[in-house]
Amino acid sequence: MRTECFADRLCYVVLMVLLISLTGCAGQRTASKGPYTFWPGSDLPRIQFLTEVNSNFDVIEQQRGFQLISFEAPEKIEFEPIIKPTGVTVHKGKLYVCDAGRTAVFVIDFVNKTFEKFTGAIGRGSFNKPLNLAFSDDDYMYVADVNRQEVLVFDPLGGFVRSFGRDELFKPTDVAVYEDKVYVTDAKDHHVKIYDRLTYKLIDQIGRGSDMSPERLYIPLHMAMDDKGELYVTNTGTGRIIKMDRDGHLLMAFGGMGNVVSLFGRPRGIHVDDQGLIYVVDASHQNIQIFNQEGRLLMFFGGSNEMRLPASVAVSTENLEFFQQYAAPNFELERVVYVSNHFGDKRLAVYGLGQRRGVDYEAEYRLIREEREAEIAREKAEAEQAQEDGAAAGQ
Amino acid sequence: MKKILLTLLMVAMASSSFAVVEGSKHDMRILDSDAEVRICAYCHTPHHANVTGGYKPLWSHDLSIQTFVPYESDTFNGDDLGAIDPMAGPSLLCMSCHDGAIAPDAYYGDPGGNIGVEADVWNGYGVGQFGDMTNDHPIGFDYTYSYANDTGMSTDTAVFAELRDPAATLASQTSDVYAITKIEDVLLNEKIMTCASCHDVHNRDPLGYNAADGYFLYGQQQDSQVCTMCHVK
Repeated sequence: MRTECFADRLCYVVLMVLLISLTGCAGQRTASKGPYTFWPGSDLPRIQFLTEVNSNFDVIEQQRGFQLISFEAPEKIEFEPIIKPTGVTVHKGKLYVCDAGRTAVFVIDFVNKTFEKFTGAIGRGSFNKPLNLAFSDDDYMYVADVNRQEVLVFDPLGGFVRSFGRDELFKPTDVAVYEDKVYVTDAKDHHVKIYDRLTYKLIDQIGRGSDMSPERLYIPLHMAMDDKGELYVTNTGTGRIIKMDRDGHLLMAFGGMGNVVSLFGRPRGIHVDDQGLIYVVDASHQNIQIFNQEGRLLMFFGGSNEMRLPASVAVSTENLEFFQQYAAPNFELERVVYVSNHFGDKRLAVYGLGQRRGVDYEAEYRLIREEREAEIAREKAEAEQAQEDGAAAGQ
Repeated sequence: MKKILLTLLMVAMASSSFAVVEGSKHDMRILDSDAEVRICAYCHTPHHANVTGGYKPLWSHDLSIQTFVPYESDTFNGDDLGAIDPMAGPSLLCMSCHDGAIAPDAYYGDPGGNIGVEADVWNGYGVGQFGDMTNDHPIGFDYTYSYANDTGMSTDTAVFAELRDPAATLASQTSDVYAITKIEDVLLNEKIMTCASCHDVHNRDPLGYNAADGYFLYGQQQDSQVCTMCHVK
């Protein structure tokens, strides 16, 4: 009985080995089986690390090894590493990665397992150092190229249209598009510069009041735009996040330079998701802090063991079904969070924002809030009592 | 940690006879200024404790007020630096600004213009530009180990050493300030090579260079003195 069982198993193993060797190994990694990494903790997790991409081989389906029935030589696929991803943008389910190290934009389609170098950047449309890009509603792509000191425009088919800003842009680091205008952060001239999409002319520049307030733009490095067209700028020079309307009126600001929660050391990439959560990358704290629309910190994730000089973040509700396979069994994804790192073994890291099934987070948070308020009240009462005692002793 | 601070302090004191960071390319006020006209805050993240009244992240209930350690982290005070980490020590701090967006990641030439940034090769531009340091001078390795083990053509370290004794001073220097600085003083934990082993980032014009071409180096370019500070050539 026992030997029979063993023989069966052996048979099975041999069969499997044969099968694998005959069909060739798929290069695609399988969904992870854990252990899972959660933030802020595993009791009420909101963020889970899902997967990482360091080259095209982490995305594409590739056939390796011996194939029994094949009359063609297997297609040779060039190795395309991601080296210095400065900007990540999600557009229509695809991830666009500006790689300043490779002087290229990579277009990644996770679901269809494709990883392509953007081919439109040739001739006069060649990149020199693309840092970030943005799309208009009609799918035109705008790339901020800091070395060309220009913004490059590509049509929906990927053809180069033209570039603009050569005379006015000194250090274009990020770009956003809203209706008929293009917004460009200039980290050297400390402005957000506004261009007309049709004439490519500079029509205004904002963010620079005459006072010395920390809300004045000073090394504005990255920019996000919400669906209302309001701008969120990481003001690296003052360590603040500045929200303003498209005319430059200050709507909100939070943060500052410092090494505690809610403050920043080297704020870089920023993203506002569809529910208004603000994600801010910090290259000094090696983390991402998430704020709500009041500028109140909700949580942070990352850390020096997880991120290595993180640069950029993009959040999307697309491809949730695909990435659910990487999630822990009870963890239901609501958003996909893409983070780029300049160094380390996760040049492109994918996280999931979500909740554990069957847990009432709001009720838990309410409890915690109440406990905290009671604690603060108790501390306050104790302090008052101590003060009274001190005064009594003094008399 | 204390040792590092002491080393840094020593280096800082040794450098203090020069005009320092003020007015250098590392004086961020050349770009603009904050209201307090600060210089140091851009790199040395202030230890603000703004969190009055029990400020805690809403979703992170089990965390007390947390302090991020931007560079005094496991990379900076690591006593267990056996493993080679190219970004060990203050190098990470350097690269957090020298990312190509805030500050140039392309060197050996004019970083502002249209330069061949793809060329991170000999005579090209872009130190660490492809995210790896393999074709740049290595950092993050143990100098003392290399000194002890890289004997060059002979097994006799004393005769055919490739590198100079870490305890030796930066003797190629004519400047009396750097002449008293030892090689180990510019190594992290007295052994790990970092960006700061060659670059005195706080010094506008070490060795009397002007700010434009000093590169914040400890050694002079003439006769490649900056190289021969360590290399026996």
